[in-house]
Amino acid sequence: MHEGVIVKSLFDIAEKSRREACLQEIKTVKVVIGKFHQIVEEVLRMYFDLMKKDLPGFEKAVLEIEERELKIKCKKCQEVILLKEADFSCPSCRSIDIEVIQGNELYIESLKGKQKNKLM
Amino acid sequence: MESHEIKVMQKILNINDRIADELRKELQNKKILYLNMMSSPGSGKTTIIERTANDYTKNIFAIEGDIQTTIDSERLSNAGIGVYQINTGPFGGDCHLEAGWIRSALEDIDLTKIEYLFVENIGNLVCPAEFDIGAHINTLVLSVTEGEDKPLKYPLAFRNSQLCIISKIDLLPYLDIEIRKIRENIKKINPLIEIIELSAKTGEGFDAWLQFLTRNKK
Repeated sequence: MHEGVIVKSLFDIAEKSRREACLQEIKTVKVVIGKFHQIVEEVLRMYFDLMKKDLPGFEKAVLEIEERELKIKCKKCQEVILLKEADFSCPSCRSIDIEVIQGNELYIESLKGKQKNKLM
Repeated sequence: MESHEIKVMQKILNINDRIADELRKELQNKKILYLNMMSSPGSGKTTIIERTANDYTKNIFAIEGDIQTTIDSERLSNAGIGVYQINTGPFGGDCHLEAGWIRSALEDIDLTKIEYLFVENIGNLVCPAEFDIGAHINTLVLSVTEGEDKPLKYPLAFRNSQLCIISKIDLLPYLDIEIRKIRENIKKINPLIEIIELSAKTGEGFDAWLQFLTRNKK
């Protein structure tokens, strides 16, 4: 149940970014999560909806999640493979010299909200 | 007011990761080998540290992570090594340790003469794997009683570790499992991981573990 800690960190970053950009009412918080992370989306949303109530500016925010599949690249034959099951070797040449090129993501991509007109 | 989108592009665990990087460097500068011991509950982490203290060196410090009780830290204290207990119960029963907690613990610990720092993470194969605590070696302890399939069920923990200890091998004659299959599944997730089979009860395989510690301490 580490999703609560993740949502708390998410709001710490989002709130700082909101203030810096002078956004008022946040409509969307977009996050990117790679499949390699063992994060349960329903639990993440539950914590998001619970915590946003206590954070001015985020009360009406919606969490938008972009999930990224797990992809590896074989350093020997250069093949890029979309992993459907956990086997971190190249299916073509069986090399174990591979690089994970997608699926480790866990970041906030953007915030969407109403911006107070800045005074000149 | 007009609607506007801003790019943030920040890792959600960036503060944890920054503290973890600082810890890694700090302990490396002090020439202390720092191991994060992760596993399911009951895999034998404490017994391995206990036997290491008894057979090898007392220049070990252990930070014990548990939701409740000081049972493990009392055992290790009796083995003659320094121990610091973190109970996450008062913080809502968190199921993992974070770099910030290790940072706070180290402020209270005298590491003079210490060569090895063991952090015994909370018994759980899911959450601890998500949080870098700055260890030089993430060590996954998997006991033979847990079955052959655990690496496939909890890939992140095995993928993020540099060493896997297969523990309790003295129980193999009583189980319908093949250690070859456990090894195959571990290597599927992490082909480069080092694997040591041992029993902290009989001492079988312990030489390889102690050699691993000595080799990586240099």
